[in-house]
Amino acid sequence: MLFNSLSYLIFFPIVAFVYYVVPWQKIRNLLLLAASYYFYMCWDPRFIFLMLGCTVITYLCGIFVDISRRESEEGVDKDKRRTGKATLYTGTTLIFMLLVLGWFKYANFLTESLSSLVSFFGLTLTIPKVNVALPVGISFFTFQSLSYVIDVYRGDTPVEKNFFRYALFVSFFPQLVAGPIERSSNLLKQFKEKVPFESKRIVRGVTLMLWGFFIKVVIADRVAILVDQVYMYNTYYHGSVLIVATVLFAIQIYCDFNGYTTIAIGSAEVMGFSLMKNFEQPYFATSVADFWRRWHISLTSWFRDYIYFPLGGSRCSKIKHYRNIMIVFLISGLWHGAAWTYVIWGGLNGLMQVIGDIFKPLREKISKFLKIDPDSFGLKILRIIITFILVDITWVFFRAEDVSSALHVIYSSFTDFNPWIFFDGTLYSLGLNQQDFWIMVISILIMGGVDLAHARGIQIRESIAKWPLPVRWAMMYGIIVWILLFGVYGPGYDAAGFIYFQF
Amino acid sequence: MKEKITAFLKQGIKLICFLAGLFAVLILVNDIMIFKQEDGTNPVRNFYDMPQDSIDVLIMGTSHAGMNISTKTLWNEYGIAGYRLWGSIQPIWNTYFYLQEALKYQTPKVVVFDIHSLSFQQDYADYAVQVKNTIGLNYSPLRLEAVKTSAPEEKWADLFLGFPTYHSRYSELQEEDFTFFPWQTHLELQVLSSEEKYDVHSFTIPASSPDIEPLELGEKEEKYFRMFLQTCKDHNLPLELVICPYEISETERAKYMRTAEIAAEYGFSVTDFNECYQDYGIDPSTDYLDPGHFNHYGMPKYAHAIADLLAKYNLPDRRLDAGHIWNRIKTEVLSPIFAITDQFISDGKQDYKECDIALFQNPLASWSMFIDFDVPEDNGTDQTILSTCEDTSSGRSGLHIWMNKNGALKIHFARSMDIDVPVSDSHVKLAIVKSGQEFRFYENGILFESKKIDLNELPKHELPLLLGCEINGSGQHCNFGKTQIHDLQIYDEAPDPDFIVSWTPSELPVAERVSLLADATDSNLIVSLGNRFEGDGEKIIDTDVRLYEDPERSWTLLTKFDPTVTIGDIVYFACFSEEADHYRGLLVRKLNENEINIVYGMTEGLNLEVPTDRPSVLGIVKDRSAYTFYLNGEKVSEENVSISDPYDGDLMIGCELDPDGNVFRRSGTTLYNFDIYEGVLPEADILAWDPEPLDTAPKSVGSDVTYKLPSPFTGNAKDAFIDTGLQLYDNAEKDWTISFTMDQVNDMEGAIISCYDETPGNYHGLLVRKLEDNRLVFITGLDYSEYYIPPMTELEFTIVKSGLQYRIYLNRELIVEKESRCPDYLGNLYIGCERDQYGKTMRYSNVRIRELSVTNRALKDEEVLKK
Repeated sequence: MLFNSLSYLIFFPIVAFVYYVVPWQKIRNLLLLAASYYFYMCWDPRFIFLMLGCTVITYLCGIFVDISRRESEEGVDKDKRRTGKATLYTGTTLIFMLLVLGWFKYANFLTESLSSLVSFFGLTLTIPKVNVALPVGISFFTFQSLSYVIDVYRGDTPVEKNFFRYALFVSFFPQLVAGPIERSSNLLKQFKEKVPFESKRIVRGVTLMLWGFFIKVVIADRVAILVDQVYMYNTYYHGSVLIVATVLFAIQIYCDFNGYTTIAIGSAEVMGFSLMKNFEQPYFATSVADFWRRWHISLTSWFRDYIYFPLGGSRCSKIKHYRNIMIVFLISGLWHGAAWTYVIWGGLNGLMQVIGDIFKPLREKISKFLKIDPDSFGLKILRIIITFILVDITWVFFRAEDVSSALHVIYSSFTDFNPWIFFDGTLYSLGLNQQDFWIMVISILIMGGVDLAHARGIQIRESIAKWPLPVRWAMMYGIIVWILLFGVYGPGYDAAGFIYFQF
Repeated sequence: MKEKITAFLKQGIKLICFLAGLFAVLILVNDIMIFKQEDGTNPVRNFYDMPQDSIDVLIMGTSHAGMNISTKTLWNEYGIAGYRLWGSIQPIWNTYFYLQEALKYQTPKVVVFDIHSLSFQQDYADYAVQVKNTIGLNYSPLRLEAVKTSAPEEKWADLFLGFPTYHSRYSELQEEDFTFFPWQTHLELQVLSSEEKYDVHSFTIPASSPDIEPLELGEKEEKYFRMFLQTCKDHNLPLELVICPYEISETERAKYMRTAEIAAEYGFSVTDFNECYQDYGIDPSTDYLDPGHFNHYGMPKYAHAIADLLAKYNLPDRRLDAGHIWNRIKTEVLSPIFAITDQFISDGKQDYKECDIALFQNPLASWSMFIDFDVPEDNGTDQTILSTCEDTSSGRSGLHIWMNKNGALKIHFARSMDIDVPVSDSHVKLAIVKSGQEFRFYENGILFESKKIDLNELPKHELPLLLGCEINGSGQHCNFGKTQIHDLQIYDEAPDPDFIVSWTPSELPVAERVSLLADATDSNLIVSLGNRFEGDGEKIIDTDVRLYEDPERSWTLLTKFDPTVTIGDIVYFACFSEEADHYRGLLVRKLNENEINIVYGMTEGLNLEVPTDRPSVLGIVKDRSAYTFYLNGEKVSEENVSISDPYDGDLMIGCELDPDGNVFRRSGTTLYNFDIYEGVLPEADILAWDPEPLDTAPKSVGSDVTYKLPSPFTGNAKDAFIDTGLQLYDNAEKDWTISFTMDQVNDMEGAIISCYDETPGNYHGLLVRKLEDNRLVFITGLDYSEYYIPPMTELEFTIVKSGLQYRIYLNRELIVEKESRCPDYLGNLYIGCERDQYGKTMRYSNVRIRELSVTNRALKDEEVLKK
């Protein structure tokens, strides 16, 4: 059940309505749990058992870790074997969960890579292909439940003894298949409190959902038509066409993922839950490191808390610090997809941060020598542009079918000079006609304006709430009509899945 | 607590207001975006506009009902208020749901259902058909039921909501799309655009075989047919099940037999007009657009047949009901289809005016003519005021108003009817009303004569209306009348008496006197060679032009030729019947070393000496029966001969056709230039005509190649196109291969190649069309597919048709593979455009085609890959 489907537009209001009609929070939670499992089963009912299995194991792990820790604290058995027990439970659960993730997501990648490596040495290794479908959202719910297990082990969060509440935490439908990857410390506790009916909050949530639909259905899916056309035939296109497509892909993936999480956050808000922010105007970042503080924040912070910090973070030697960055981003690349293009994409992002850090003193010296104010507006704009270019180059690997295609795109972008494509109508022949193209441009400008306002601290929704009622409603009608007219959906278009589902 | 309740109520009211506003906005947007198809959504959407109980006859079914039964004729001739509630290729279940819906709003006195759809057998129709037959229905549980029956589950939401299917129409919106708002209505009498279509498809309706046994209907078809019948029975609704005459197959007959058996169980009967179409004067050789649909000539005849069938119900003549919606809005929409813009003043010697209207194309058509003129002064001769008559051996047939040599003002109409006009003044205001078979004549608004004419006596011809003269048996203008026509208006219907009485002539300006020569000059190019023709004893050109199909046609032929070549049978060009004892047409050939021979008309001959040291320029002007010949800048002969009999053979270059239509006398003649113009060109232009010789055509092509584009074609998106003369679907099952190479043109849109029938409800053939957004549309047979054009500078397409199979290759890579059966289509293959349902070219593109060839067999996969 896609968010941009009729099924969700029927499913969600019904769930929200019944949710508020039921007066008891426990029953509400059970209702949400049932709705979440139904939501997940709409893709493939078989995998519900996988999610249930992961939920049971991580739940039990939390319980056992908690028991062993309490025994240790109460002095029943203070030797190291008991604390070792907690480690054993946690470690076993971690390994199990990663094996599950690895089996479904990385088995074929590993075998193919191994075969390629062996054939590189002139040998032949035939490993049968693992014929399993990738369960939707597996990367998200495994990471979310792992964070709970680790937090309980560390004592950062109390153990959840109510299985149903915990199961709801793992499967909460708004963020189940594409995030944000929530922490138990934020979400779990919200299920314990009764949510009162507040019309203002519901309107805020619905407005947010509409905004999510706009950037997903109107922008991301429309841009995708052009990007898909160019990348599908990337060897036929040159220079500026590839640059346009690559820039637009940066917009596409942002709108696609941000659109989804915005709908998710809006849906949760309608029901009174607050999910964490996942994006914070990432293309206004002034460095690659800054970009990663703004992009997919829930995942980045997950890696930071559970991999980067345990490895030593930045409080160690420079070499180790750089190693830690590279490890995190290589894993991040792999998390995004089981292919070398993703690994390269992650590696490049890590490498850029390492290089940025190495040259930071030199940059500062040059600025000082040239007497450039590091906080000046011009320099900030320049840094934003440079950061966007660097990030966009890495997106090429993310989008391209294979490494050679990615290299061709980058090479041709820098070597083929054909700026006349901006004037000779070529842009209207890339899958979008002139009207569709300009609808796309206008929509992107609207989104850019809203992002800019957010970056300047203007709370759009709060501002709109102060407008006169007719103007507010007219704006809402306008957005709805704009989405319905210019959204890419229906028999004329292939239903576009969210890019992040595959993760 | 009270405050809480008040706040809650306030919020609730606010929410309701918001949703109501949103609902209103969405309705408006939906009304703009929804398809406006005359063979789909419009019949049902407009049906809702009709006032309650204003429809007496509900006509239902596929295009066999919707495109064949003229409600206009039923109304004009019989006062029957009929409404066609139909859809293209409508399955029976959609007809059933339409009936259910119709009965909510109307109480028809009888339902006429063409059972064509009972010959189908399918679970679901194509998506386009599903759309056409469901989305026009109002949103209701019935619409949901219709959608669930019409389409598989994955399409239910798209069809029920409709909007997901058509929301992306924003780039194709037209004025019509903004005329369907809730406050606007479409109450006019239904008239299909195809009702004015004159194309003729000739065929024979197969006789019924006595051995046919009833054949079971499809399970779903039978189920819904029974439900349909039961509904009629439950409502005591008389039902006439009909089968329109068409190219019916044995299987269809067998299914119709079973249909009749089922109908009989419910007390209904089937009327098969295939068994009695001759009784209504329906002629399959002239009355059809295609094997299933009538043209302008056939529709009224079939309407008469239906009216005959309905006679037993004693339906009221709603024309007498002033309150009926079609009477109320009639005068608002009545506007002339033809009117003169200047007064016509003739000198009685040579002045005349040929009007761009033919009154007797369809003998059953209704029309009315209002004319205000001065009676000519009696000069002892016949003086014509107005005429459109065919002069046959049995006399004149048509309409003729004239003053005879005795000074009496007379009207001749139909084949042999003559009446006197009661003249009270030198100024006459005459109204002639033709209502089907009946002629009525009014002078100054007063009826002085009316006459119903037998069907067989009604004129049928395409002669234009002439003012100031008539045409004699030899095709010459004669009997010029000295008159002044102050106003002339023609309407395409028979108006009510009030309109006739109230008609007043307009005060038109007096036009300058127009001479015969200038008026007759018309330079529309009929044929023009793109390359020099160099015959080699094998090569020929079939121009697809029939110069003598209408022997009265006037044209001007200009050619520059080489008089020295002597290979073969030395025919330059011919449009000539070699039928023994019935030679006719035009033949130009070399007679001896310095002489050419021209045979024209009914074997009149002319020999002309030509110099042998240089190319010669020949001009032949045919002005009906008068021929004028020009050679090398001089007029050499002028003859007025008897008009020839029609000949329907093509004009051939480099050969002749034998009596069986086979090519013979292939010659080695060379034509440097060759043009034929419609009408008579000014003599000065003909004498001055001496163009530069055209370039030589590319090399000849292989034996199985039936057409090769002589030179690259570049469209201009305005009016450039090529008619190849090739028919790809004259037999819809034949094999062929089309290969063409085109340049990538980013901003191109329109048709690239087409051999495609655009008749609503009967779209089929081959169409390759580019949309704005770089998508190519391929329609192969009935099938539709799209393909995104890759960004190559040169695109080489090969379309292979093997029976019902289509394969499409792009740069030797198979991109589309389809199977589709479709009816025959007699149109030609066009390059750079397609033709609308009336045969007019449209959707011109600026495609640049470098090469194109058509092979008369299906190339094998390996042959395409090897190319």
